[in-house]
Amino acid sequence: MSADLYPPAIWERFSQPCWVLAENADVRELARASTPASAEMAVLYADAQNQWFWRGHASPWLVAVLEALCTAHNRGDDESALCVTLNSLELPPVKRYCRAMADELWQAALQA
Amino acid sequence: MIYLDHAATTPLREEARRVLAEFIAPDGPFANPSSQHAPGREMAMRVACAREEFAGLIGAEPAEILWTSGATEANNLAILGRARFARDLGRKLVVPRTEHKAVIDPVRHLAGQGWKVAWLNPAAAGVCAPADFADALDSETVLACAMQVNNETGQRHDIAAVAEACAEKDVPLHVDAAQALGKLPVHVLAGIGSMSFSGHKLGAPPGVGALYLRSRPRVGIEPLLFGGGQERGLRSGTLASAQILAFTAAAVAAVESREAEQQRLSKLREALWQRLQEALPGLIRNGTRNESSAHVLNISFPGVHGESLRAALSGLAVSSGSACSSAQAESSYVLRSLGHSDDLANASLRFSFGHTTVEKDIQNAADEVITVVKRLRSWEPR
Repeated sequence: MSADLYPPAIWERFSQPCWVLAENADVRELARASTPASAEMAVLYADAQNQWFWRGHASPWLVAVLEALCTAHNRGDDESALCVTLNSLELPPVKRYCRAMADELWQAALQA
Repeated sequence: MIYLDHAATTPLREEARRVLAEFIAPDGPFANPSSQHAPGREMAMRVACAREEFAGLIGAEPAEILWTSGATEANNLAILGRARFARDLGRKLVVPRTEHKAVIDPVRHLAGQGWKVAWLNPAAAGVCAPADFADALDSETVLACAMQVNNETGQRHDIAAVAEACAEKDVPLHVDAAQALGKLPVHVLAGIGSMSFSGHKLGAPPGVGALYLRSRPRVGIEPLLFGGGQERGLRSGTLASAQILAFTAAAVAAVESREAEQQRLSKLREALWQRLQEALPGLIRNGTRNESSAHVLNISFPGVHGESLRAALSGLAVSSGSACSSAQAESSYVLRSLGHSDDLANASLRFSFGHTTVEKDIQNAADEVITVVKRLRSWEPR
C-alpha cells in the first residue's frame, strides 16, 4: 500500500494523473477497451480541440499507460514516439495486457 | 501510519513487554524448563503456573493445554494429529469453506490422501448454520472444525450450538479461537475436543500459541513433532518460556479487559462504518453488526479498482480482500464464498481494531478512505 510497490514511472502517473476526464467536460467517446481477466476497462474521450482524456476502472499500471497515451497524443507524438514512451514504463510481464489495451485504444481512437 | 490491522497482528501489551524485558535483561532467566537443576525447576514452575493460569481463562484443566509456536501449528496438530490417530475409526472431516488457511490447508492435505471432506457453504452472513454441521456429521466423521471468529469478516460461529450438534454425534469439534480469545467469551464447552490460540493476536509476541486438547473424554491425537517428549509427548521441542509467560500475561490482560474493551471497540467500529457509509454511497458491509466480533469491520467498495484502492491508501495499514498486489491478485476466498465477484472481493478492506486504537485513528482513517475512494470513483467511465 505504498509507492515502493511500483516503479517511479508508474507511481508518478498514478498518484498525479493529468488527463482524467473532468466531471462535466463536453467530450465525445473515441474508444474503449477492457480485459475480463483483471476486470479493468478504459475509455478514451476527445474534447472540441481534440485533446484526449481518459477514464477507467483501472489498476495503477493501466492508469500510467492511459496517462502516457493521452500525453503522447496531446503533444503530437506519432506511433513510434508513443512506443518509446510505453516502453519506458517497463511494465512487468504480467501487466503486458495494459500495453495491448493501449495499442487497441490508440488504433481505435485514431479511426474514430 | 494509522494501524488498523490488529486481526493480522497486534502491538505488544505492556504486560507482555514486562515479561520479555525480564528475560532479555543481562541477568535474566534462561534455563530450560525440562532441566532437573534448580534454575530449570524454577523455570518449569513458572511455566506450570502460566499453564494453570491460561487453562483457567477457558475453563480447562492445566494438563489439557499444549504450548505451540502459534495457532497455525495448533491447528495442524489438532487436524493432522487427529487424522493420524483416528484413521481406523473413519476418514471424514466436516469443515466450513471460510476457515483460516491454517485449517483449510491441512484439511486439503488430508483430502489429497484420500480423506473425505464435507465442505460447508456459509450463509449470507458468512458463517455456517449448526444444522449444516449436524446434517454433515456421520459415523465416518472423526473431526469437525469451526472457527469462533472469522479472521476476515469478524463473523461469529454459534460455537455452543455447533458443539452441541457435534456432541450429539460424538464427533470432536476443533475450534480455531485465534481471533476470539480476549474478544468473546471462550469456554471449552461439551463437544469441543480441541481449540487453538495465538499469542500475537492479543498483544503477545509472535511465535507462541496453545492447543487445548480435551482429556475427559479423551480426544486422541498423534504427535507431528518428535524429540524430547515435551508436552506429554504430543509436541516435542524446548518450551519457549519467555514467550509462554508473555503470552499468558497478555491473555490474562485481554480477557480481564474484554467486556469494556469490546464495548469501546464496537463504538469505534460503528463510528467508522457510519462515517464511511454517509460519505460513500453503495458500500457493502461484509458481515452483520450483531453477529460479529467488535474488532473487525470488512467493507467492499464498488466502483473502484481494488489494486488502485490499496495503492492509494498509503497512510493506512489495513488488510485487503486480496493476497497479492503486484502480480495478478488472488481475491479472498472468504469474500467469494459470500457471493462476491473477484473484482468486488479485491476492492474490499478489512479494518481491525485493538487495544491501541483510539478515536483519532478512526477519524483519520475515515478521512483518508473517503478522499481516496471519491477520487478513484471519479475515474470511473461515464
